[in-house]
Amino acid sequence: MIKNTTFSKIFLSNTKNKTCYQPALLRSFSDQKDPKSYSSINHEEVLKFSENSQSWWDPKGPFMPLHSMNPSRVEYIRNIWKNLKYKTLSDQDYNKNPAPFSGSKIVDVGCGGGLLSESLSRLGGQVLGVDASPENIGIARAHMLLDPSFVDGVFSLDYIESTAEKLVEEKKTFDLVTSVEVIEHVENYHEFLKSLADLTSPGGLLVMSTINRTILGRLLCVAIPEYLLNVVPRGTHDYEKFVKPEEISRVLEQVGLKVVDVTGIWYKPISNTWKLQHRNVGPFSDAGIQSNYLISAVKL
Amino acid sequence: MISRFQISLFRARNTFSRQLASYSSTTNIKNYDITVVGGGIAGSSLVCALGSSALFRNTKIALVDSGSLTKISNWDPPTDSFSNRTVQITSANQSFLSDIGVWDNVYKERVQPYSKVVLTDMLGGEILHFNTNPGAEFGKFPAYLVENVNLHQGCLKTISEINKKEKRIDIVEGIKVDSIKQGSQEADNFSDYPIINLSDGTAIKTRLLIGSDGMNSIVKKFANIDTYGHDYNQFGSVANLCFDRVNETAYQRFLPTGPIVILPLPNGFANLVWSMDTDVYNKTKNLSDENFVKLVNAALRLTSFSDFEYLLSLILPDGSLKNNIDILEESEWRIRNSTESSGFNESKGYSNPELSPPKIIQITKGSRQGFPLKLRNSDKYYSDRIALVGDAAHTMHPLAGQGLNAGLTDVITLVEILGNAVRLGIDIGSTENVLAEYNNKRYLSNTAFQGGVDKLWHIFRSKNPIITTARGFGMKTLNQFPIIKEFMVKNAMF
Repeated sequence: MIKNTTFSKIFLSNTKNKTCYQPALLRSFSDQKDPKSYSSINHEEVLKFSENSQSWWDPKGPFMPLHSMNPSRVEYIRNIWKNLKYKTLSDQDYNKNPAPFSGSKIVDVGCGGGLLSESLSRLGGQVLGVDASPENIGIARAHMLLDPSFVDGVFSLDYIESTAEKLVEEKKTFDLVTSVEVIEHVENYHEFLKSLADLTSPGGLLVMSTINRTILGRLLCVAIPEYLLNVVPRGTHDYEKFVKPEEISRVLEQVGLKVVDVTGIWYKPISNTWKLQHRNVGPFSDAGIQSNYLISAVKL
Repeated sequence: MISRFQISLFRARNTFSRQLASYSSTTNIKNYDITVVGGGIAGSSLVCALGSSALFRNTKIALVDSGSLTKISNWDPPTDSFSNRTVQITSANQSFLSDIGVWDNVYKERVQPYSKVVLTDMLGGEILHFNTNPGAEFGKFPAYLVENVNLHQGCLKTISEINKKEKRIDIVEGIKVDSIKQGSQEADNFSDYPIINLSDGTAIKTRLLIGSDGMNSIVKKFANIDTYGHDYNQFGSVANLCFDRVNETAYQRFLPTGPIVILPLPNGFANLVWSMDTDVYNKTKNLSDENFVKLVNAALRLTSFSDFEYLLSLILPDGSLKNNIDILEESEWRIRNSTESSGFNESKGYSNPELSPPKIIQITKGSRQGFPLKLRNSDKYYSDRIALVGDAAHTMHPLAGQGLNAGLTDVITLVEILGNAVRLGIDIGSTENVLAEYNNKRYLSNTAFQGGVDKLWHIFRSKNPIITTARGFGMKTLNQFPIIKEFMVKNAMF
């Protein structure tokens, strides 16, 4: 952990002196407020992810499920985005669009190593990744610098160490707000959801993914990966903090957002990929969203 | 516990400042997303597929070829002859070529669609015939015979058309690849992007490098991907032939010395691909065209291998014949007097005259060529940010004429995976999401196909009576099961 922080500092101080190279990447890094002042941040959780931050981009490391899940998440966001912004376009034409988020401002709250942020940026979005952990932000920036398209500004991507609350204070709004696998790690999800809602511009979209507080959620997302297969570090998830989709809906509706979709996401162990699963599986209503699920809401 | 990423980060830290310092000075390095090395049919059709798809409209593409593509572009089709190098295209691959606009740029009058294949076995004495699609309208045949140069030019025309609309593909031709460096080999390269140093002093840095540069692939060499395989100790003898009548059927005959294949071209022309043991090849290569034609006609009809061996024994090292014997007369006499029962010997007539191959009357001057037959496969079809397609990845016995089809299927698969990656914002050079998936989809299938063709080669070479009987039985049985035959045609086993 100490070693890692030192590393980030060395790396980033090294780059900071060269701001002429790509100022946008680095400008907002030093003016950090103490994240403690924000209510929804859980410091132990931030610490937990910081410790593993150097493994973010190792597809076989502790974040393996996030790697394999990322393409399905992007697929989901793409599809929901179509229903919102490209209603008249045929699916076939929309699927040929390499940059559906072109011209849209996106924030990825709790971006971690930047897995989703990079993908959304490649799809044309002006993406800001924020994370409360400076180590994560260091890793995300370092990884971004490995790709000339981000360095040369072909794609627009920036990272800052910050929180949803802080961005709200700064009165920033975005066309698309994403926050994947974050809500189950925050201290107060009501506050957190309110901040995400404030960040969403009118007509904008909020997409989250998390784990359902069900027996299946506990089994598939905690017991098996953390205790049986040991592919995810133990203690990554706390079952008590899992949130049900209807709980999210209730809060969002109070702050002017309408939930437009809830979709399950299921792991396929043989191919190590994930499959989007409709909410209802045959006659079983809500069966598809018993463990991991994605939820989308539109700001009215 | 040190991950690759940590190593690259470490490298990044060390080389970052240097990278910054040298960034402006290395202006002769061009950045591309996809660089295709080798502009043959596989490489140029790959570029067409990328260039014709809207998904790749933001993808920077370069095609590098050491030869002169202009020569192919300027090919003026002769009116009285065909090239001796042809390729059988399966209907699936023909659809692909249509979709990417290449098929429209191919001279159709020089393409022979066909649905009839007649297979015979010199020793097993059986006929197997395929006719899956009688009366199919143009565009829906199970196979098409196209001259390589016709198809290649079609690809290059399509590339120019794409570039005319909107410059999408940079072509670097007549320039060789001097070296390819990656990662730590290149101090200024702080990621794992391959840097291709070219013979004109410029360099290309690319997110993904695709090697379609043939059997002796430079890309494969620099990627340190091992090759394994074996030589068949055989030669393929190709030639362009002329029949005594118009023909739209393909003929394949298994001789113990290797299969002889005749593929139809328009206007009574056809191409020969005759695989033969090196000693047989050495005997036949000096034959005059006239005598070679007689030998081919004999090989298609003789029902006894000893008769065929006798004919070969008449050939002197300089290509002349012992006692000036006429091969034609000799073979016809032997066919007439053949005591061995057979469904298709000339004395009885082919049991069904429709299945009898027409007489070859002439060889196009200068169209006879020979090349050694090899089977090659690579350990894998990728390395970090590098993929291999076509002959760079694998070559197989031309018995089934499938070398290029396998290459086109590589291209189709890779383009589909790349398209999906672009659609989902995935780095198209990523190993786990792109390259490993491509390898998984193609490696096993190519290896199995190569293995199948290789096995077939061994089975049909055998003079062992048990195997020849089984072979005959197998062919007879297959004739009873049109569905299996149809499957074989669809997958272009023959």
